[in-house]
Amino acid sequence: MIKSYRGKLILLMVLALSLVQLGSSFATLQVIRNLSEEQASQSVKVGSKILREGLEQKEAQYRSATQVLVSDFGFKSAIATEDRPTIATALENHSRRINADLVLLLNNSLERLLSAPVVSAQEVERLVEGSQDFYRNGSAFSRNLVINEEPYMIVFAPVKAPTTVAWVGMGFLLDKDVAEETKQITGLDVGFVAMSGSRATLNTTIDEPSIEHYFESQVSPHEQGQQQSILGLSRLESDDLLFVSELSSPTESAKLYSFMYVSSNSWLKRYYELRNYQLWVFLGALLVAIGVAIWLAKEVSRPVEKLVRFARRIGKGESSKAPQVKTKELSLLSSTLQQMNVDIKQRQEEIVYNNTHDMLTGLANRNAAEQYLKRLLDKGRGTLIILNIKKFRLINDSIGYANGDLILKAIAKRLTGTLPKDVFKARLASDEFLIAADYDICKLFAEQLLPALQQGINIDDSQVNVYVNAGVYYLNNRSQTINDMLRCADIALSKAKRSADSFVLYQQGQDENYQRQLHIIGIFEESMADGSMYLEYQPKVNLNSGQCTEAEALLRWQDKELGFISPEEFIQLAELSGNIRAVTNWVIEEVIKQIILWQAKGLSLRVSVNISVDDLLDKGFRFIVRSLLEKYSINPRCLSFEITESVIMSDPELAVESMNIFKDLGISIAIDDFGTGYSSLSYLKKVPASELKIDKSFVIDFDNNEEDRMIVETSVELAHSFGMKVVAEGVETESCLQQLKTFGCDLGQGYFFTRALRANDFEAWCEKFNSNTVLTD
Amino acid sequence: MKTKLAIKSLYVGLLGVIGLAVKASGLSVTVVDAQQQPIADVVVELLPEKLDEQPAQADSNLSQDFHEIGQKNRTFVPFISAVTVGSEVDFPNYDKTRHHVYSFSEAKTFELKLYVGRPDTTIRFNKAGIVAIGCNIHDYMQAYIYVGGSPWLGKTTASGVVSFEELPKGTYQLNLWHPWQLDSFEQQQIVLDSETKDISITFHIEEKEKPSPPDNKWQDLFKDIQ
Repeated sequence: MIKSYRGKLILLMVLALSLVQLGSSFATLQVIRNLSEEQASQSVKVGSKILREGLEQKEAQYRSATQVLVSDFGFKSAIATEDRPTIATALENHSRRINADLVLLLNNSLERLLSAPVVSAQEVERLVEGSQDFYRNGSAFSRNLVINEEPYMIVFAPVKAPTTVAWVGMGFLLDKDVAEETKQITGLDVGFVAMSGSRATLNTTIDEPSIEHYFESQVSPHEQGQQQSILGLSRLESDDLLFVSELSSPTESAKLYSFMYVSSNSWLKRYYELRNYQLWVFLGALLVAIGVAIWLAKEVSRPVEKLVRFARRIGKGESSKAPQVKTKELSLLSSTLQQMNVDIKQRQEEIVYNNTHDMLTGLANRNAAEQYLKRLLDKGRGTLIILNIKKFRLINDSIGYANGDLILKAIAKRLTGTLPKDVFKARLASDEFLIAADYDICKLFAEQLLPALQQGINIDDSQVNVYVNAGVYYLNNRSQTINDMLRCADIALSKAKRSADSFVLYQQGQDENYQRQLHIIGIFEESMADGSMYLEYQPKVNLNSGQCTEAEALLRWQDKELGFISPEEFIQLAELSGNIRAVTNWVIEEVIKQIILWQAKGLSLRVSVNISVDDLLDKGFRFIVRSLLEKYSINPRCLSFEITESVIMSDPELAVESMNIFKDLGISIAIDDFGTGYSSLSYLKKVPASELKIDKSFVIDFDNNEEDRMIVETSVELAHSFGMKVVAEGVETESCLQQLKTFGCDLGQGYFFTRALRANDFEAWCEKFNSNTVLTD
Repeated sequence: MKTKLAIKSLYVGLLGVIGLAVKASGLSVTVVDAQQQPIADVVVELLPEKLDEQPAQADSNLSQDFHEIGQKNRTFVPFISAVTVGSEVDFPNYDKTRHHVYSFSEAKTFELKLYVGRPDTTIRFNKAGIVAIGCNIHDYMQAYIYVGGSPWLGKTTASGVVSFEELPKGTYQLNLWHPWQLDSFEQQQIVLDSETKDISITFHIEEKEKPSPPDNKWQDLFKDIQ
């Protein structure tokens, strides 16, 4: 459809005009058409009268001419004496004189005596039949008759001698010439029609097949019912008008008609002229209307175009003045656009602000920080300090997120309050802030900001103490990207988190270590699959029986590129990167498989696995363990989890809950590295452990250190009093072993027996060990 | 002269017949139309079929009439004449204008070309029949002569009556004629004895005016000439 205003306007104008014009034209043309038709009808009627009058005149002429003949005494004499040769010549002579086309001589009994051209006796009988009264009257008369299928006007005159002795008929053919005479007067086409049987003979001034067809259709037998309608005015198929009069008498069986004819072309001529004229007027008006529509459309579209340009400038953010528009509606639109311009600018500012500012604290956000750091990078000098609130998660958990937000706000306030304006301040993540400047701000940070930050924050009338870690990075020419800069500061921060210091300066090499760690994190999964990560088993020997009954599974990693990776390093990385669960799962599954293998070989061992803090506190881990047990359907008593003291202390309640669940599953729990942490005895009481492993640091130096021996002895007693078995790690000497025995220690493990072995080696070792009792009393 | 002679000879003939008659009877015929109105100028002829007696004498009124068809005011007078075979008729012209009297009838064809006054000859009608007489100058002029074979021939008077006297007894055929009669009359048989008979016959003719000259448009113009 048409979409433009101009198009619609034009369409509307054209439609409206067309409607009016066509309506009035139709009415006018209809009237003209009716008038023309009426006029044409009138003209054929009048023409018909003129024709009739003409025929009457003719008839009078013929009658008198015929009467002259019959009055001729010689002729009378010839008739009376039946002098045939004389009669014939007299008739012939006379008919030529008066231009008769047919001569008929009847005797007193109306029988044919003579005819030229030949008219059959039956035809004569038919001719006289309808005229008996005239004959009886004995005076001349005329008839219009069909003779020999041709239209004739025939005058009959009596031959009186002095009584009527014969009748002379003089026939005059109503032919084209006669019709032509009337046409000369009326200007209309004229014709005579003789109808005999189903034949129609037409003598006419116009050769028009439709007329002939009209008459023939009237006489055809199956349409006889319509014969009444032939007289008077009729309209032919092509709107031609035909006025038919009957010339013969109504009683006559062979009818003779005259007609006047007007073709539709001629009577509709004026109608067509007017129609063409109207058409031109219409076309003219149409052009004017379209012109007006275009002009009107322009009146509207010009200011619209102005507004469009204005809107485009708004879109591009160019400042410009709203155009002056006269039309009321468009002026409203103009002022609305103006207002929109203002609103857009305002919102744009808001967006820019939001884009560069942290919503919560009002400090710059990470985006803005990157922009700023880019400038620093260009300058090539400056200081970055990333701050992090210590244990913010715990704070959040204990005082709620809303209050956590208050703390963040308070810190931001202190940042802005303490540091000069030329120091850039941003909040990078939840509890991570960045301060940076193009000069050294370390001193400023240490002397002014840090003390300010250490002051307690008042939340709900209670003091919350907040401590921060900070990583400091000095920009140097090795800093290639913003990410590099941030990473270095982050590395320093991580270090600060792990150390007791509030802040750590980034040092060369830290970054390289970082890259190695990233690499390690990246290859965890493939290493588990390709066998570069594997398990070793260290035997736990029952000190009473001298048999190896248990083993500790230890994870080892021999990488093709990096070589041996220490468990301390990669376990920590696994915990950091979130890979620890996959690793633990893998270890447990491998151990279970191994247990099954050994059981098949008749080696029944309980194997313990080290469980990290993440695993223990992760509720999903419990389900994984349970499903593994179900999958391999092994006796859970073959499995033991070793959990370090520090793990338990990170979240004692959750840790105890998890341990209880594992215990319920049938897995025995051992407390690992006992003595290194700060475990309280009250927790120890709650922990559902069945084993206590004394850290090797207390055992290794056993021979020389009296204190260690006392700690171990006391620990064994303590454990036993809690109903736990005791395992001593780091058994390296015979004397140590003997000492542990005397303390009542239940199990021992260490190099004295063997270092950790791969499964096959372990198997062999165990078989040999258990068969030879190496232990001596 | 010729006329008288002719009439005389007729008388002689008739006398011969009449002389045989012993006793005579009379017949009066009244011709009326459907409305019982008398019709004048109807020719009545008694044709003897079987006579019981000879006609006494030929003293028929008609036979003794002077046969003249004159032309007065461009009209034949009388319009209808009834004459017996052999009668001669004179056609005197009493008008100033000339007349050209003719007949093409089968009973008698003759022509008296343009003449004034009395023509040179009379016309003898020797054959029974009807003779239509016209004038070539004046088409409207018409007259009829009924030439009858019987001596008992007459035409009705204005009161529609014709009377025959001294008729021999016997059987007759009665015939009626008029140029305007609608049907041909069927002859009637009549038996006459000594008594005089009155009969009335209904006859159908077309009611018309007798031929008369039309108003002459030129009359005033030619007054001097006439």
